[in-house]
Amino acid sequence: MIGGAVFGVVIPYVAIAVFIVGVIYKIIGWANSAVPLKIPTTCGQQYTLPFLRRNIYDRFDCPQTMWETVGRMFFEIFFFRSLFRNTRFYYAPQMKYKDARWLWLFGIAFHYSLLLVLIDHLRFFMNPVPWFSSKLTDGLSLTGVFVPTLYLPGLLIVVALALLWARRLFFGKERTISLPSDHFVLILLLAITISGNLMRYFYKVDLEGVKELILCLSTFNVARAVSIADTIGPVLYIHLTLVSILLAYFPFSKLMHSAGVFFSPTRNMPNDNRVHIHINPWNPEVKGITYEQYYEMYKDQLDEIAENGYKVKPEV
Amino acid sequence: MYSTKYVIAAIIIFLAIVTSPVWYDMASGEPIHPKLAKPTGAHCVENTEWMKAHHMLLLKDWRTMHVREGKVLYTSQTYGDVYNASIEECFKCHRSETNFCEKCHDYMGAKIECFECHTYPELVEEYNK
Repeated sequence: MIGGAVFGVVIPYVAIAVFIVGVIYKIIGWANSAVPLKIPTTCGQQYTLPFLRRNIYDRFDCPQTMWETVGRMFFEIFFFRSLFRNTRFYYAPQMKYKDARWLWLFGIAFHYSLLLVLIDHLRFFMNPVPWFSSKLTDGLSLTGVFVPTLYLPGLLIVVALALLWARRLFFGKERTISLPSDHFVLILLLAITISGNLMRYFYKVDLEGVKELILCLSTFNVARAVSIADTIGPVLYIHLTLVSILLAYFPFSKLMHSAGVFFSPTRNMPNDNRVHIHINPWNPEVKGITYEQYYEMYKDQLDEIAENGYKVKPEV
Repeated sequence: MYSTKYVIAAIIIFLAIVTSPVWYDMASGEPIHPKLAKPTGAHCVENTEWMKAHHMLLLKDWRTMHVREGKVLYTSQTYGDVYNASIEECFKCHRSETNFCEKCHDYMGAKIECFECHTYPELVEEYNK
């Protein structure tokens, strides 16, 4: 009774609350930070004299207008364009850049798998199941291989995470710059995806009960949720508790790059220093005066200079 | 706060996405649990709780037993009864596919593969009409 209530009701609710409040707190914190300088990264030809031509790449790499910047953000968020520029410089044997875009490949494989897995998970959260969720699940499943069908993004996500973690473990430079938090989120995500796959394919739980529990939680029917929580097998609670840990940890972790990408000034600012002045919000307020006020202040001297025909003689 | 209107819009979109199941479930007004047709027999092949989670594996094992190994009888691990290893054995008690299998599978968004080849009581009834 206590176990079901704690792992099935209390921990998920607390985790979701921490997640929502934490993410909004972080976003507001970032929105309150000043951007003193215009610091867009520029990888293309800036808008300039008409005989210097700009092609389409220059327009997205060195945006001048708002819509060019929106385009750059779009490609950044949906295609990780700046990761696609990932190269390494080698001093030995000869000075040379090497392609390291497999990082982009692993990253995009992971993120899109995660999106598809989340959309598939809507069938546990929504009643009736939304049509796009079931269509997508059917379309991306391999039938006839195993019972149940193999959901490909669910398997790909484990592979992509394993590769991303292997990169941090086996490459010297990456291992040197990896912090415990980097390893922690990767291990946590691996544990979540592996436990989810094990639950789907091998250690079955009563899905009807699982959905009933989640629907009770989402409609705040707590009493019924507590009574159902006890009837479901422990494998679900391994998965659910790991997800709760991830959600509660999310706002304080590097995973906040999901919101941070929208706030990165090197990406979201147009490079239009030559067109618009960027005011540093730290600048102290300067109170100007009109010429009339200035004239009032220095009336005598100015009149004297005017009388002398604007010729000022140095005092000897 | 800088760029206030964009930040507020972003927060609202974030909240809408995260809390969407709550609004969806409240708006749809569907019952939290589907009403399934009551089977006629005293008990299922195995323990009901086990069957809820593992029926697809049992059916797959029956397929392998029957089609590949030629064993047509299955002895229940829980009750010791002997059953034909056939989906027709299910329909002796579960008289309805649309009110039993399909209802729960629709509720879960899980696709049934059995009836791409097999018949089910409603289909037979319709054919014999």
